[in-house]
Amino acid sequence: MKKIIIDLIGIVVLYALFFGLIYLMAISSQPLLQRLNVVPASGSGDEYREGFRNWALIVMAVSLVATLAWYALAQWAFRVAIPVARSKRLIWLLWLAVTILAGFAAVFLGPAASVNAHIPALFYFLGGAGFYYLATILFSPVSYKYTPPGASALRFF
Amino acid sequence: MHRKIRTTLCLAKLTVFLMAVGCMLVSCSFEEPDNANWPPHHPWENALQPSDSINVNLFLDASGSMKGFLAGGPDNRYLPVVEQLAGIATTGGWKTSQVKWWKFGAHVTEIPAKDRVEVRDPKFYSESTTQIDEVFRASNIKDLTVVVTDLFQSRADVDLLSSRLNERYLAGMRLTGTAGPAPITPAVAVLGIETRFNGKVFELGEEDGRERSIDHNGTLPYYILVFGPLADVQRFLARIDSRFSDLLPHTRRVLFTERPVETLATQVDHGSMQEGFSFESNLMPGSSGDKRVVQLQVPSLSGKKAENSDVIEPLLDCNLVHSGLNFDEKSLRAEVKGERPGANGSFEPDTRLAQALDVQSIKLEGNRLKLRLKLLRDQLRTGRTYRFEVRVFPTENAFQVPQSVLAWSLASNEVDQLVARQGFTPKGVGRTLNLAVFLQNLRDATFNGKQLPVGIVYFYVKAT
Amino acid sequence: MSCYLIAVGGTGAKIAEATLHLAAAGILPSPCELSVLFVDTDEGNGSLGRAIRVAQRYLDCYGLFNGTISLFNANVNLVLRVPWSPIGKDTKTLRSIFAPTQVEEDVMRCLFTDTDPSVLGQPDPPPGEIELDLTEGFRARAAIGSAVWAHTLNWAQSRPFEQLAREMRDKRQNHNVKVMLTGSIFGGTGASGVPTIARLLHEEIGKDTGGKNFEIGLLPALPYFTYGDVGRPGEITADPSAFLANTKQALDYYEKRDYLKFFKAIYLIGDECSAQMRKPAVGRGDQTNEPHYTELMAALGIAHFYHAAPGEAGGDGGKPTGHLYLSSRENKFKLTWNDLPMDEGLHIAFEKKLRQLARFAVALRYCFEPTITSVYKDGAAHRAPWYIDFLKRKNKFDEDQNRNLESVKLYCESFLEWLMDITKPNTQGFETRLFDRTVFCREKDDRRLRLASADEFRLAGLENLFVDRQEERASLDDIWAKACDTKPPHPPLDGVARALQAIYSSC
Repeated sequence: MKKIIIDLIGIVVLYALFFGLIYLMAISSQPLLQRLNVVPASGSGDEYREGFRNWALIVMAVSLVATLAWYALAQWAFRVAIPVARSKRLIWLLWLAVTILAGFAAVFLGPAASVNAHIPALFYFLGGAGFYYLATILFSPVSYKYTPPGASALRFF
Repeated sequence: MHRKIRTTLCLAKLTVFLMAVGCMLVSCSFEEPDNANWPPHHPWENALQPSDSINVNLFLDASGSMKGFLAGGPDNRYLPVVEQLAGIATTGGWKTSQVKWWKFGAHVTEIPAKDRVEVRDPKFYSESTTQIDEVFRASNIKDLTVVVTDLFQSRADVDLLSSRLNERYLAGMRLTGTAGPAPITPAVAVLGIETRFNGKVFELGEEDGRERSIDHNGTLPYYILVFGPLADVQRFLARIDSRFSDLLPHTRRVLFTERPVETLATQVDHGSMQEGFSFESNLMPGSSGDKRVVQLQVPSLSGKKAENSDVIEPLLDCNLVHSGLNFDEKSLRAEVKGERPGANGSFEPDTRLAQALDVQSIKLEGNRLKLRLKLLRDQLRTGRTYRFEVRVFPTENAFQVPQSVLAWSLASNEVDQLVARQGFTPKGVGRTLNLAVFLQNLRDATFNGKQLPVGIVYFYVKAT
Repeated sequence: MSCYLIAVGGTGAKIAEATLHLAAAGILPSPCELSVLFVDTDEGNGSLGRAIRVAQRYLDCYGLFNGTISLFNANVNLVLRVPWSPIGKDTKTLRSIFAPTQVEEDVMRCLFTDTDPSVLGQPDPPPGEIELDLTEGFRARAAIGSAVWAHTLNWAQSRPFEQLAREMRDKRQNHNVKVMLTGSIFGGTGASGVPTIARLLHEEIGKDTGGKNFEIGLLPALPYFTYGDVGRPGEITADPSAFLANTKQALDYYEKRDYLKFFKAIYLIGDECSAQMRKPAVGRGDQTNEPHYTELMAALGIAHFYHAAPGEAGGDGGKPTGHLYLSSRENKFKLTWNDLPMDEGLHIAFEKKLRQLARFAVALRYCFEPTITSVYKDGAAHRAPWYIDFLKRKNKFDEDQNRNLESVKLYCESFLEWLMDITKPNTQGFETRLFDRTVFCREKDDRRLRLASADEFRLAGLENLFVDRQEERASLDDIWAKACDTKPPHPPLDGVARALQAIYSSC
């Protein structure tokens, strides 16, 4: 139980860190989006960044839900296969696909940028899929801690 | 323990790396010269405010030509108005108003308050000449000066009067130059009221050493000239309108003032967006809340751009002062001034920058001024900020006296015919000698040689 | 400490097997060197063969863990790879063993029966005791056995006894040596061999230096099983109905011979609810009486003997100072964890170790070993994080390690097979409440037992393995998670032992 609480706290802390990124990108007095010359296709810069922030939060919320869903499945739903353990990587990939889809939704439905549009798009995927990837690498339940690709190199706790 | 230390070290390295990247990104800085007190506030950004207390000097032309306005009948619109002028001044809405009556002819004579003004007494109108200078000598530019007269003037008189008015009330910016307008804009209003007339019309030139006159029984306009601070003049006229609302079909009015707008807009809508740049609100340090400035971040674009990229269409309010003059909306022009960062840490004017912001069109739609500007990004250097002022003003000929007013004018070259016919044509409809000249003089004095702004838009552009 | 276990006869072999399982569970003292000697005339005895197989499998596993965990931490060695037998190919009858003179022949006929003359000339005439082929055992005739033992057992000349004697003398110079002899008291080989060898051992070694650093214990098993007709009418066979009478006689013998004066402890174990062996046979491979829970009790007695502090009671030839230990249970028809005999202080620890080994064996067989093999062959190690942690990170798993794994798996299967028998004694109305064997075994059509398949195990679930120990309940997922979360100790073991150590710790 203690480990579960620590994992969930870790996920929340990581989420807060990524939210800090959104803050830097779109909310702070010197938004990174502005400094990186992301020019909206319509509306003012403030309107664009507000839209970006909302979509980024949506993407991150989807990513958080995906992370928690993966965690819940791995912690409580998955059972060790007998006799040979089976890979759950496909399920992990499916949730990753959800976050990527959310990123695409944000790119196409969110506020458009006419210049440097790749930067907010990158951030959608970073904040969505990137958060999901990092959170699952660091905080997947121990029985499936290496299911995310690359986890065995990054996680040693 | 060993593993925990490794974990902590790894996370620490990751954090430091991310922070370094973040610092690198946020450390990119632009030249940011001093923006204190920019843009300057134009006095016309403040709404017109009538004076709290006012001195009203009512000058009544006591020349003999005015006797004809005493003609009785229901269409006498002279006596009812003149008799109420003092009351209008007193109850016009000023906190305190001091009203004085003056009789003017060869001289101006104050009529003491305790004495009645014998407006209806023909004997009152006993002066043979009217010295308009006397009026100006007795009045102060900050006071409200109301002159009731027939404005029947020779060319010389017209020139004199109009030059006096020009000097005192209308020269304005022509005199102050680039220093800008005076804090209080003066105005000259000419309110003409057509009324019943039965009497002699003088000032028709001389013949055999004697002044010519004709008898006229019909209608003839008289005029209430109102000079003073624009807001007080407007208030006074509004009080007349409200007190004598049935007079409107019989009146003609023009207002001459250097200030073409009620208020210069302090808020600019950046209008529809085009691709290529973004409107921001935080580019200019210390700019929070100043909506006069359109802040733009304009990246350099390589390759093809959309045809309408870099086009800005700001919108701002533009409520012209109700002057009664005709306004040609196509006569609006714009002047662009640009500034770039200078060596001493502040902005310096750069005449070449005017080319960077091309004014493509100016439209006045109702009370909204819409500009279309094209920003030529390639004229700007990346990494710099620029300031622009786009000042919209009408040309000198934008405002014209309406024909309906000019129709009351009697030209000098018509006088002989008038005398020969011993009457106005059409019959019974009197006109005022040299009214047109007088009004044109006032118009010219008000607008010629000046660029009176109807809207100013400021741009703060960051070329990234 | 040096421990010796001399297992005599088929029952002795079964008790030795149980002792080896306890050794594997880490229930014997640590550190401990256990030397096992099987003694049986019937080289082909099925129980003996099984015990030797278990010993071999244990030896294949020993050394993997270097004593870092209790699993396989006893240093077991087989004194001989085959049982020692007083009978040879050419000396397999009393007549051939003793080669009596005529006078001796007559004496022999007084003591033992000869072949009935009336059957001479018939095909396969049933032999008398003098001509009985003793390679199938002494047929529950202790008299035959005693004569043979006394004649053939020579400390100076019989290997391995000569080697054993020398070894024991050397070792007792430095530390305590404990020798336990075990076998059935009601049979032939055990009934005769155990007291005879024990006495001889005492005479040879125990008497020196007043018995210091040398203790002998006896664990003669009283009747606890029976069987039906072996199907060889007319021949001399062990008769179950005579077991009790034989037992009484044997106990009398121990009493009269003052065995408790010379031996540290005697452990008596038996069961009035006799189990019916499934396949009655005379001897050789057919005589494979299945394991019984009584052997577990006996093994615990042996463990108790080894654990006892030296010098608590030593025989000095004077008044009896040895202890007699009896085991009993609370309910006649039920065996529970509380009935397992052990000192109170050690009881819980031993129980837990036994359960830990059981859970380890099940988990390894049904999940961990197949997974390791699958990952080794097919990759996708991420499905088993412990594989990466213990077999890939600074370690390797190759064919050698695969063989080690196979060895451990084979041992675990042996252990499970033993467990499935002891939890299903063929005693009517009897219930063992130790392990739920349905987790890992099924009954075949012929009522014999087999290990469950993977599908059958999946349905049963590991969490139900222990009976009456709900607080120790753990599912396979729990074990898996613990294994994934375990860190190897420092310094870590090499090879597959690192993973097995983690899995064992998680159980």
